[in-house]
Amino acid sequence: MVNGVGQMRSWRRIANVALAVLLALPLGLMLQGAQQEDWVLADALPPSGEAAALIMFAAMAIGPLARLAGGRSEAVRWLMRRRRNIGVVAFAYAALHLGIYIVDMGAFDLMLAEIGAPGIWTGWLALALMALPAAASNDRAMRFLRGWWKPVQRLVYPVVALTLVHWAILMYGWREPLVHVAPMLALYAAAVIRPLFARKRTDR
Amino acid sequence: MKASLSLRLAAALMGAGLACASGTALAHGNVTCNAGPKENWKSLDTLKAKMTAEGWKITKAHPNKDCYEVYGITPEGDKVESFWHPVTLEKRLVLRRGQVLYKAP
Ligand code: HEM
Repeated sequence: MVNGVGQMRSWRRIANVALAVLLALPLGLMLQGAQQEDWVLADALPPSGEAAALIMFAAMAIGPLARLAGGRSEAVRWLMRRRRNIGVVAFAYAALHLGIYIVDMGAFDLMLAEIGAPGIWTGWLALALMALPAAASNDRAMRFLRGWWKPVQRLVYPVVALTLVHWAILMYGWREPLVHVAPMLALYAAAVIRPLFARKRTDR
Repeated sequence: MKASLSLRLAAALMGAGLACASGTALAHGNVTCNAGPKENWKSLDTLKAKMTAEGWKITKAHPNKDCYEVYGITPEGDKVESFWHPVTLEKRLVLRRGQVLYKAP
C-alpha cells in the first residue's frame, strides 16, 4: 500500500518534469536556431507563433479528453489540474511572439503601416482576446468573475478562429494550420457526439 | 448558452478574416521566375548590390525555387518580402504580410 502511493508520487514527479521539458522545448529549439550563421530575428517569428498555437490547442484538448475518459482516471485529473498553467504558457509564447515582432519591425510607423493587413490584424486581435482568459487564470480572478469566468475562458474559441486565419495567410496555406488544429477539434467533436449516442441507448 | 455566443463570435471573426484574406490570395506559393539553368544565374551579391543602390535595406536573401527571395525595407519604407529574377534581376513580386504590393506584369 505504502509502496503503491510512493510509486504514484514518482509517477507524478516524472510527469511534471516531462511536461515542463515539453513546454520549454520550443524555446530551446528557437535558441538553438539562433546559433545558425545566417539567423535573423524574424526567423524566430514562425516557431514562437507555432508554439503559442499548439500549446493553446493542447490546453483546449484536455477538457474534451477528460469528458471522454470520465473524471476518474488519475492521469486525466493530473492533466486537468495543469490545464490552466498550460494555457498561460501558450499566452506567454504569444507574448514572446509579439515581442519578437515588435523588435524585428523596430519602428512604430512600420507596424502601423501593416496593421490593416488581414494577416496582421488577426494576430493583434487574437492576442488581445487571448490576454483576457490568461489574465483570468488565477484563483483571485476566478472568485472575482464568478459566473463570468467561463464565458471569459471561452474567448479562446474566437482566438482559435483568428489564429487559423492568421497562420494560413502569413504562412501561405491552409494545410499547416488545419493539420495542427485537427486533433483538438476531433476531440471536441467526439465529446459532443458520444453523449448523443449514449442517450439514444438509454431511451430504448 | 454562453458557449454559443463565443462560438458565434468565432464564426463571425473567421468569416471576416476569410473575406479579407480572399483578396490576399496566398500568393507566394506559386511564384515562379522561369529562370532556367543555375549556371546562367547572376550571383545573389550582384542582386543585393543593385537593390542597395536603389535604396533597399536588406535583412536576408536566399534562393527560393527558381527565384531569389529577399526580405527587407523598400526605398518607399515598406517592410516586405520580395522575389527577383535571378538572370535579369528584374523585380517579380513584392508582398507585405501576404498582401501583394507589386506584381510584375
Ligand atoms: C500582436 C499580434 C501578432 C502579430 C503582430 C503576429 C505576427 C506574426 C507574423 C509576422 C508571422 C509570420 C512570420 C513570417 O512570415 O515568417 C506570424 C506567424 C504566426 N503566428 Fe503570429 N502574430 C501575432 C499574434 C499571434 C497569436 C496570438 C498567435 C497564436 C496564438 C499567433 C500564431 C502564429 C502562428 C501559428 C504563425 C505561423 C507559424 C508557422 O507557420 O510555423 N500569432 N505571426
